[in-house]
Amino acid sequence: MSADPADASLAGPPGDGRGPLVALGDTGAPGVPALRWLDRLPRSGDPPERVIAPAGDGAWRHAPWPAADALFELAPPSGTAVALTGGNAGLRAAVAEHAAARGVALEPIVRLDARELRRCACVILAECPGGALPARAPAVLAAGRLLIVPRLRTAFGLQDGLDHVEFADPDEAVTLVQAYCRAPAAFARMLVWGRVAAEAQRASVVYARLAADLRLHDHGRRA
Amino acid sequence: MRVCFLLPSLRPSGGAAVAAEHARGLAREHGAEADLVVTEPGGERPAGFGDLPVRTLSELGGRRYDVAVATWWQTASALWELGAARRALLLQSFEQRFYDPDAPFERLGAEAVLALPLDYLAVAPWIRDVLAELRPGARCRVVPPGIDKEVFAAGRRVRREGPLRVLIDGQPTLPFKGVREAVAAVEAMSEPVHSTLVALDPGAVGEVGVDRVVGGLDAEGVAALYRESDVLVKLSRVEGLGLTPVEGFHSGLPCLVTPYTGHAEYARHAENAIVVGFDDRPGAGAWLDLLARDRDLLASLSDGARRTARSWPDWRASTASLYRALLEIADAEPAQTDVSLLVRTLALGSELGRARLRRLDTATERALSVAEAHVRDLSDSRDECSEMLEEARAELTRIKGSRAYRAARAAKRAGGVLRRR
Repeated sequence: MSADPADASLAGPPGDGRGPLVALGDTGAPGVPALRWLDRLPRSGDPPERVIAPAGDGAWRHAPWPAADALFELAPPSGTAVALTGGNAGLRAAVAEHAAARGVALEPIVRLDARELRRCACVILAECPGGALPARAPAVLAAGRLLIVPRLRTAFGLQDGLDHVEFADPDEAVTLVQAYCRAPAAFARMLVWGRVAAEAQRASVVYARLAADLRLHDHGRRA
Repeated sequence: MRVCFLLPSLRPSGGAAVAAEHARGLAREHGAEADLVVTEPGGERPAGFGDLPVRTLSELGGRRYDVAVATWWQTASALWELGAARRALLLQSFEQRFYDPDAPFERLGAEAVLALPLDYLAVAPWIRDVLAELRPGARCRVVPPGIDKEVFAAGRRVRREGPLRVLIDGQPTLPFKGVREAVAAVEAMSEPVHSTLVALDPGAVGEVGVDRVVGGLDAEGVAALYRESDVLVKLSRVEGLGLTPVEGFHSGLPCLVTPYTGHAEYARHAENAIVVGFDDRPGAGAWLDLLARDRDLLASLSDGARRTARSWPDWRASTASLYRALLEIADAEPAQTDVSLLVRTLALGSELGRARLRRLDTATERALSVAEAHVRDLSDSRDECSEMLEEARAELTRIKGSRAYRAARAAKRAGGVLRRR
């Protein structure tokens, strides 16, 4: 895998790294990767590689990033710290503004990684590329943290209100944070379901499947 | 032992079929008295479920059961409307997942049954494991449903040519069954394909974009459908187990499935099945194309499917396992309510419900603001039109009063008189 260390801590494969080379995000790769797994929509100027993306035309597959196996073992959070991150700067700023106006504390995080996940109890991922679940969402769920995202058109099997919550506008995001901070124990079952949902994206399972996909599709193409 | 299974109605469903098979097996193999009890009030008295005794709640009178088993969250309350020494719930799925966020009360009701004083009978180990996390200490026994090996194990050959015969499983009116996504995957294919949708209620299917829709089939009819297909496509988002791929495996029919809960009990990627991600239309379409081109791969998956099928229990083994579980439940102390879980369930339901209502309020306020703005615009526009009309009238009066207009009118009248002469 070729990836930024922060991204690798969220979505990296377990094991010794043998197998096809996967480039995670826009990172440079030593050589030509077998595929590139984007956290954004594909663009026309992208390198001519097989691309997995949360949405968009021209992608070989549509999927969020896998969730690193180690995250499933993360201990429960000790407090109710809420992290605000995500690729949509405008939305991030709007949520922060509404939170400040209502006296709700949010911790802005520039780059989410496993260390930050360990610190917080809830993550607002302020982005939904092409209306799809953000690429890093499965990592948040696998870590047993409450996931709050904008309303989605493509949820990759997730269910709003059961394994995560969606907000229609920045103010609703703050309302949901307040609800969580008021009664974190009540959200315990949502965290259980979040981990169940994240199992479909467990890195060891997804990368093994991906290796088989590449092998069989390349064999099929040659045949 | 006297047992009853509570069903909402006798309408065909996977859940009702499982309960009926167990009831039949308990009576035949274990000498138990096993009734089906229908809980939905009104309507005609059920005609029966083949050879099984079927009763309505009102017909039970003083009849008492050793164990009464609810089979759907809405039947759980009826457990306390009949005489039973022990009460249990056949957990075929976590049914709150069948509802979207706009059905918060159904979700809450389905979740609340997990806190009731019940023993649980899960159809898959993952259900037991999740229940243990949701409600530590809950008594849950796993009883996987069986397969009719005589009906579903008939031979099937892998077709080496011709369009790929895709069998889509699911009722399109239930969005979580992923039928729309399955049809989209077939539409994304470039190889020749023939698609069939098998639905519980084909009359309610509407336009779905497949070559053929079938439904209302008995087990033999379904088995025949498996034999004439090349791959079963099931792109559900929610399942307890999803038994149709297992039935298909017995005919050597491989499947293309999403990683829904329960799939891991039988589906092995590239061994007996192809597992594609949720909402991955390009991926699912590409896999179907590959299966259409590579019949060796299809044959290999078919072999894998048969191997998996061999280890799946038949109904006799499944019901024997249920019988043992029922004996244990009958011998044990009655289960207790999990008050803490019930309180947490209600608290979360309230918090989410409040947020949902706030969203509705906000949406209503926004809609009202937009409507007010439209009314203002229309009013302004009407005033503007009135002014323009007044101006036009004044202009007309001015024109009519002008010397030129009067002269023109006089000339026109004179011309008319001349023409008549």
